[in-house]
Amino acid sequence: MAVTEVEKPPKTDYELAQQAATGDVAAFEELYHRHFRRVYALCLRMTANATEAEDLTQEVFTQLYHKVGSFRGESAFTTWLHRMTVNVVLMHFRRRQSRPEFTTDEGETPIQIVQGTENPDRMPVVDKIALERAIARLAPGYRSVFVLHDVEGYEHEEIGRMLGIAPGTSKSQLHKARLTLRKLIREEAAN
Amino acid sequence: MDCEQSVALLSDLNDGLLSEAEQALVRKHLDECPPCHCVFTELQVIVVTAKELNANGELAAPDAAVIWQRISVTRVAN
Repeated sequence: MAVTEVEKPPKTDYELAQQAATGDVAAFEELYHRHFRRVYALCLRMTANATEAEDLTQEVFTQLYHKVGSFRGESAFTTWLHRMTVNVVLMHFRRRQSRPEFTTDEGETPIQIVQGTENPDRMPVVDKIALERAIARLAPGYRSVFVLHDVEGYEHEEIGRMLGIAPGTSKSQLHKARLTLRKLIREEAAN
Repeated sequence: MDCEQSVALLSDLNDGLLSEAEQALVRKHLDECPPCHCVFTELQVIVVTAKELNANGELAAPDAAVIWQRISVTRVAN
């Protein structure tokens, strides 16, 4: 009588994290391969620099190796790891003293649209490549808020806590980031 | 509502953060002002496209094995 082999379901991130916490390098390596691209993408989008993103990715996983035992499974592993990644990137900004400048609503130059310069029939193609390029050209403060909110899905309250700014400032920076991106994409399309 | 006031509220409109009365005011302006309507449409596209960036991670990533090697060395060193 043939014995049917039942395929084991892949281990969850939580199971792998528990194993990794006991020193199981294979489990840690599996976690690394599952999450490497997303961590790198977040680092790259926040820094707009491939070399820094590689170094920070390495730093994130080195920290993860030492801290993985503190993951209790109360949130999704990806959420937990992404928060750790954001913290590593922000620490990096502080270390090199190029922390994104965040300004309050007061004193900022309002972004205006000038009547007559917009052509509704000429909307540029906003594809992922164009958007990635434009994100890389944003000022660091705008870029951090835009990536955290619109790409990663964090709320303004959480972004405020992470970046040390008021939620209202995060909201205001996001709006200006979006308008700036639109302008950059239009400029790129015109060239 | 003028264009400047309208543009200032477009992200809030997109994110559902306006009251019904504010929404009505902005939408009325957008219906009457093609340039502002154009700005709003493009912001919406940017927001939707940004969400897709997270979903598939199409960025060219470095060789995972190389970074793994560097992590292994750091891990041992620490």
